Amino acid sequence: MNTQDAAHGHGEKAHGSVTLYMVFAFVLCAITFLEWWIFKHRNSIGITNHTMVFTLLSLSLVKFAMVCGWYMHLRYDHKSLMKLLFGGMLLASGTFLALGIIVHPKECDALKGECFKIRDPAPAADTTVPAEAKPGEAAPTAP
Amino acid sequence: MMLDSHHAGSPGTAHAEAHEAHAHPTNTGVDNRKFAMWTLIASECFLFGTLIGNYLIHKDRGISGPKPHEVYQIDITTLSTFDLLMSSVAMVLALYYCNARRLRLFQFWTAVVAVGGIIFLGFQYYEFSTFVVHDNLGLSTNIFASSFYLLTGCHGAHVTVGVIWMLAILITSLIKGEKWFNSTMVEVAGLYWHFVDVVWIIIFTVVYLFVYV
Repeated sequence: MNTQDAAHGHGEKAHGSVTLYMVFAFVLCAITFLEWWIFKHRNSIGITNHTMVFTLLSLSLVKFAMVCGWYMHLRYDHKSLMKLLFGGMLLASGTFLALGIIVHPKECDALKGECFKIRDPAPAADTTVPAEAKPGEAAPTAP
Repeated sequence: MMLDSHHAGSPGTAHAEAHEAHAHPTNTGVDNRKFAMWTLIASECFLFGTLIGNYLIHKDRGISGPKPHEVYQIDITTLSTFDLLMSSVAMVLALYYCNARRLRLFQFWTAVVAVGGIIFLGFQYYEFSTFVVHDNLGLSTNIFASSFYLLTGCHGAHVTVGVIWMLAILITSLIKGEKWFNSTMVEVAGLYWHFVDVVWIIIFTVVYLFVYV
């Protein structure tokens, strides 16, 4: 038995049934509705920004795990596929962090708009040179 | 001998055995097409991670034009999210019936996936056109608009590719009938479609619901 057989023979379980997929569909819809409800009623339920971010991120992670694990069959598939996905996500997180460090909001605020604001154009310099009176000569008089 | 992973324990075991004769051994233990799709998905994670990061950095930095909270229509976006989630359910059912060799049901659910994708694109077209016409938020209005259109437009392009792929599978199965049952092809297409759905799950939360954060 080669690696392939081993992977399929022992590493995989039976996939889901139609009932399971339907239950998951209901849960996914319910979570999305809950997210929308939290967003709509954030003021009336008095939720802070931090709590809202934590709650909504957690809910979306649950949806993410459900779709990846069951609909994409990652839960039943070869482990190397999960490593691939998490490798990509790790790279994405690294790039995300790098972007945040390179274009840090506080840094740009400290520059007072040097980053993103367009400075007002400087007033145009007067190119006409006034005639200077030489010593001993009368100053030019206006007509 | 390689065996399509989705066949294991699924209703189409007889077909899996027949298909096994045409399969090739792989040194990864996974069908090469499937492995390639997962590699693409990993790189797409990288792409969308960058685009989401770019959006989050720039969303409040526009110096002219409307702000995100002035233009977003969360109710409509929630509806489009429901639509995409349901299309993902349809996709997994299409694969299930493909494995079960139930041609009509497979074709029905594949058509539902394609229609779901088209409806999502319709929502996106409506959103973009409202932004441009009603809110005067064009691609180059400000840096928020540029990063928003880049992110959601890139996702919309992925949905478009997915819809074309689903239609191609549907048309091929309609032409070839019972002779055409390619579980691996449907599974690979399904992986792509579910990934597009997963990306939207993140975008919906991070881009739309975090608008006041």
